[in-house]
Amino acid sequence: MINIKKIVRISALIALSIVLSILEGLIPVFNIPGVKLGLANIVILTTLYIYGFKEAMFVSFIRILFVCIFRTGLFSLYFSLSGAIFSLISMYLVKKTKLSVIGVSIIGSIFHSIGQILIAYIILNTNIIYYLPFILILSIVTGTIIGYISKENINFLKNNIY
Amino acid sequence: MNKYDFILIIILIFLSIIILVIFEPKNVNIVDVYFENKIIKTIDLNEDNEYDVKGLNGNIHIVVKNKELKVTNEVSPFHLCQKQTLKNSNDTIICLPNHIVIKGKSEVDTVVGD
Repeated sequence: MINIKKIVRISALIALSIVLSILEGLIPVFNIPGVKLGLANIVILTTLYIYGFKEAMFVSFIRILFVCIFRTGLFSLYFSLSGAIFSLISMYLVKKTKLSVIGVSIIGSIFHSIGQILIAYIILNTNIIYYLPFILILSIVTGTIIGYISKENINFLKNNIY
Repeated sequence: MNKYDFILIIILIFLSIIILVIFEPKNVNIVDVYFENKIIKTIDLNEDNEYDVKGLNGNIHIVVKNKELKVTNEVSPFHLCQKQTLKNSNDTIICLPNHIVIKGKSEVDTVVGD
């Protein structure tokens, strides 16, 4: 049974994550490599809580593919994919604990950075692990912001639409 | 935002401090002297020696003793870089009027990603 409603909604979520991903590239942030606001993660978190792991993975992959092909360039594909996989799996695992959406978001933010550091070490053999402490602290900040927005979003959607 | 989130944040702050302490960039004991961003001399801190380099305003005398580097003579209004000691390749001495920078070799590269 094809669920047209679900297809349309997931498509809207993908489109939204693409737009947010491009938009946050225009906002100036600290120039530490690997640090970004992660606005698209609002969509990923929302999808994870409302639909589930498979759907969130799908939205995440399509978003990365699209942005890398049409915007940033294919060389960043490995980094983005690695970060997204680490982030998503970690968020799915902690979702069942007593952490709120904000805690899950912080964990996702940290493991996203860890995934990118790991793949940077494997591919480029660079010792970017020295940035880890600063990345951790900034991940707490961005994770909290994104988490809070996602929490309000999820509550709104669950009360009104789903 | 419940108390488990706060516990997580505190754990993470502790972790980052611990990592900062453990993973300090390695010390190689070799420093480079830069004049206007070009390396004009490489100095090994393990050998006690004295060097002369030419800065913008004149001659600069560098003394290496006991694995420490000090500038002993320079032409500048405040002689600020004579007050600094360079102990390892993580330290830096900057002589702004003479456009001279003395710093160690760094292991950290920058990465471009999403």
